[in-house]
Amino acid sequence: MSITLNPNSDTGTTASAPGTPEPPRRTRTGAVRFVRNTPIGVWVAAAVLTFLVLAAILPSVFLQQDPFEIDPANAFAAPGAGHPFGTDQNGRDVFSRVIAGTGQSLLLGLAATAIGLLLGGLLGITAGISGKWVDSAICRFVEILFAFPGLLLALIVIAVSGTGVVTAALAVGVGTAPGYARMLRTQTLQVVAAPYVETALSLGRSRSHILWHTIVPNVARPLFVLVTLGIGQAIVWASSLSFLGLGAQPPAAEWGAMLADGRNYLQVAWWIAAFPGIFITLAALTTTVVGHHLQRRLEAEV
Amino acid sequence: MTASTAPLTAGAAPRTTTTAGATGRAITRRVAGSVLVLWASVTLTFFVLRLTPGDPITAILGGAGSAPSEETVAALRAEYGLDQPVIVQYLGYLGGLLRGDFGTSYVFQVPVWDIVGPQILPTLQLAGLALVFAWGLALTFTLLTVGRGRVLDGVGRSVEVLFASLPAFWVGIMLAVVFAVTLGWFPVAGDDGFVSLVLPALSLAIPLSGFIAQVTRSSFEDALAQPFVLSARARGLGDTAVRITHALRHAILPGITLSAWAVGSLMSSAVVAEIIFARPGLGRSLVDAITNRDLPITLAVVVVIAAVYILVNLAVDVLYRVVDPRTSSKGSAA
Amino acid sequence: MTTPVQHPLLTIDNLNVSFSTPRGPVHVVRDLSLALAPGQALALVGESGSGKTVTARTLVGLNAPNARVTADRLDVLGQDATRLSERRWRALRGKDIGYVLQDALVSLDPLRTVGQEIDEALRAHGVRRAERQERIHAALRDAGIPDPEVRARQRSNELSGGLRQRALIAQATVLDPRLVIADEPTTALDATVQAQILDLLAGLKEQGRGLILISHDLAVVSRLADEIAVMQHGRIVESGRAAEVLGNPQHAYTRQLIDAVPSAAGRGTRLSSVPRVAVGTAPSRTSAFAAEAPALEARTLVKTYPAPDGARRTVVDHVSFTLQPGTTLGIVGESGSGKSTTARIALGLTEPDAGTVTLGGLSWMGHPDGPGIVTEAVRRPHRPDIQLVNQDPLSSFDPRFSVQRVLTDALDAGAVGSPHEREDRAAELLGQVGLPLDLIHRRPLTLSGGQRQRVAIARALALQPRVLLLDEPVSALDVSIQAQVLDLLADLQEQLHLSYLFISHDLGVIHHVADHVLVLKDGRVVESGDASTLFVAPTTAYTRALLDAVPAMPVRTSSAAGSTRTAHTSEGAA
Repeated sequence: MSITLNPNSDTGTTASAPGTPEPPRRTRTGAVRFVRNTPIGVWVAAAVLTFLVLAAILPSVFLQQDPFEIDPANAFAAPGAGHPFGTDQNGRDVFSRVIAGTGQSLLLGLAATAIGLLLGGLLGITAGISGKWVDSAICRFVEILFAFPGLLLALIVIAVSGTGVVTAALAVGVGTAPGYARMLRTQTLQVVAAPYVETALSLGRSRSHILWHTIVPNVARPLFVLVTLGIGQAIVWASSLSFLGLGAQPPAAEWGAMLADGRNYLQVAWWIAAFPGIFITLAALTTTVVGHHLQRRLEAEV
Repeated sequence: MTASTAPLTAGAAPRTTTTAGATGRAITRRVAGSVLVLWASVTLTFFVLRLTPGDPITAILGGAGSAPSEETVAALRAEYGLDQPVIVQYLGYLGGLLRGDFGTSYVFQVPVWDIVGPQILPTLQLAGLALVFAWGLALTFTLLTVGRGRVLDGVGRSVEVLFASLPAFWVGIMLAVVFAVTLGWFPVAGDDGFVSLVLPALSLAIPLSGFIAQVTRSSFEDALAQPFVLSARARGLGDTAVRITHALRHAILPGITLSAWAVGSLMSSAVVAEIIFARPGLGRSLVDAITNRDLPITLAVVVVIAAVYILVNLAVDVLYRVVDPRTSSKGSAA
Repeated sequence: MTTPVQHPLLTIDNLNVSFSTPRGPVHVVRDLSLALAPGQALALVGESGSGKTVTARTLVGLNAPNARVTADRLDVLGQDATRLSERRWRALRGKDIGYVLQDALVSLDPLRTVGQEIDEALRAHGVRRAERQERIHAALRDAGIPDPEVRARQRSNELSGGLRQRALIAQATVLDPRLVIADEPTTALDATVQAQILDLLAGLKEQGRGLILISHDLAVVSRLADEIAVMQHGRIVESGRAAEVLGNPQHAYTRQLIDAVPSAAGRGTRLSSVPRVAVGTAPSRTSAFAAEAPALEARTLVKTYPAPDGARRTVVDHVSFTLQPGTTLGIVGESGSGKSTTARIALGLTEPDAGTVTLGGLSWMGHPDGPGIVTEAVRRPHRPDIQLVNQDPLSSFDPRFSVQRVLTDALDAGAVGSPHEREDRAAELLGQVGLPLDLIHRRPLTLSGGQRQRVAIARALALQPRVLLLDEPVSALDVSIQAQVLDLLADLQEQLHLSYLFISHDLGVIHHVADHVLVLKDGRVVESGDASTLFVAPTTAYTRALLDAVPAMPVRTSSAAGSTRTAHTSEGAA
């Protein structure tokens, strides 16, 4: 009976939280661990999201009918065989239209998020790494932008640049930019103040090397998570604009525009408005669930 | 087993003790800052909206179809001050604002305030009730599901994410179909007292409650895991008492800040509820003005919403200083 | 265990606590037996993960919901604790059992005043409103808090560390409980404050209360405990009268714990049983570092920070020191003494307001003889000469990096060799700090605290520094791991002729490692000199007070005479 106190057997320093003993050291391979650590809900969300992305890239795989084919004889058909989601006032197949709209809606969300992150990132990261004056100037500017809450900034952009799909993406992007700017500035400040940055300095690294090889990559680490999380809300916003008649215009098969269209026939055919809405929710929900999961995994790594 | 000293890299900025006088000064500074932000946002909007392509005269004359004479155009230009340099127009606008004059609508050719003014109260009512509903839902989720076993916790989490993902306009339509059209419990449209406010407010509140509940849940969870909760239990406090006297207060604090954001967000997203339920309101005026290219009304609505939002933020900030003693006295006698 | 008493406060036979997890049950406490009589203090001593805190929580019924508690006998204050309802537990907690946690800053609700927190205990146990105010003040006064009327209206963050801990004790003892359980009650406190809190706890014991003291620190325990139970991996490996357990330990683990405590035992002795590392021959690096000059020399450093009232607060006040090559200079001070700011100046990260630092004879920081400041561009080529190892190594690793990348990146910074050579050298460095090669692809996050600290040391060694700045390098480690790291540092110093600037709040550690010592208080050097003389004959009252506050361990005797204790030798760890 001997006690070994070799350096590889010590038990870690963080006093284990009350009542939650440290789990046994994981020895499984990465793939197995990945599967085991991913909750079932995330798998479902990922599957639905995969379906949506496939429908966006290759709508023809899922299309049964031409989404724009008008068939007045068959108008307002309730969901059933042949028309799983029913038909609209012009007899167009709602399912086909929802599928056809997937591409535009997802692309709109993605483009808006990219624009928002690009603008916000430029402002936020510049503020985070710059000196006092530039930082406070950018902060003041972002603070002014924050005075236009929610959709308001997006509506101003549309007031200036007119309606349409491209301006809707731009509008939502600009509308979300102040939030991203603030988030990325905080993130940058945290990285800049991190002890590993000073360690790099102590090792004799130059400031520009530290900026490009330590600060920027670490600020960019959660980028993928931010995109995933942002896209869901961007889709909801962009479809809101289309719903208001300020984004995609009918007869385009865009979810928000379809919903606006279907609103006029609620008493006779609820399905025209219901299904596009369900798809907007699905897109937002699945990207959020997957994004949260990625975020948790990333945070566990830091 | 932590040491008493901060790690080297944490820096060594000394901590400070502020007094009540300093809190007063901080609030004064905050008010002055808000006035500045309001002025800056008016300025920004004024000049950005100038970038709008097309001649305002077209909007004033009611669309591109009319073919006005040169004299009419010049007369209108002079009437609306559009012949002045931009900077003069801007100063004139600012001066007008100070007198409560928002200019004249291009489309309706009446004072802007006559159109925008009456829209403010309905939107405020809608946003206010939606906020109350959202908080009610969020607190219900939090108190019922946080820290009550894996199943309830999972249900609470799922409902919150689902709610946060719902588009308000779709919720509004579905609520209208079910509760107004099918069941007939509420009016389908109109502005007719509290009853007509319920469905529009709910359609805005449901998505919002998802966001608020996510925040309160995580801070409630954090608070429940804190040592001071263990201390309270070790004093003989029961579960409910610990939740209400200790954890809840910590959970609501970040929610207060979130509420300021929520009011602003509601003021502008109210437009979808206003359109679905055919209610008057700022959002509706704004969308109409954007569609009609009525710049004075667009500008006025933006300024009003920004002003309300800035005011709410200011109020919340001051309120926060009162509720959270840590912000007013970041003291340490160490 | 000891002489039977009529009414024991605690009688525990074969207590087992396990937690059900998705990966199956985890046993945290195994076959634990102990007893406690009124007026007695029992210390549960162990390192992290030994199960001591879970044991304490079991005694107040506050374990996590997934805990499974079984025992042949678990009598708490005459009641069978295995059958207590939550209602009955609540009646006991606070009233008959007081529970004091570590670190009062987070153990008292930051949104509520100290008075409200104490009032809550009184209300929970039905004390009438008329009495409560007076009892709150009395409890604070009994806990040694001056001006209780004022303090009762303050929040924990407005109190100093010592007052805060006293307030925490006051809220646990306001109802005069018969049993007080204190879990690491002094761990985050400065030595002088720690001594006062221990006196306060001793007073509670003298009033006839039973006291259970949970600690990782044998020295702290020795000051207060009548009995000591040493825990390892959830079992009590040895228990008995305090003086005997400490003076004549029977179990190998107890001996190892005692040996691991750095103290007056002095330099040269090894604290752990880990074999010495062999550094081998490292490729030498050319440097302008003058071998015969002082490795690091600071002259009259001054650093001030602006205070909110517009004045400037002096954090470092005319601090001078000389670190001779191949030796260790220890800097001791309590929190706020300016030792960390001094370290940052020495490392070339913070510019002093006045004063200079030279590194191996070269101007390093501040104003050299002429006008002007040494710029970063001038410093940069010499940065490899001085490297830092701090208390929290994890934060000093780029979160994207594996252990290998941490080391090769450091080598890359010094432009050492080709990528392939850097990988070889990284493996070599890992061996130098006594880590097995198979850790090289792990992320630091997945390593234990001791392993992380070794990686940090390996990185510091990568560029063959002359000076290592060690800022509380072992303060976050368990005592046995601390012993191994201190031994490693001693080996490296000897073989690589390194000079150490060693900063610590722990006088025992400083006494063990330092050749020369600098005592800092409020930014000023209170006393400095040879470690051998300074510790034996301190010349200032402050140093004397610091030394007196260090809980001293009784001298270990080798007589195994008539002991009443049990050495559970059959259950030693593998």
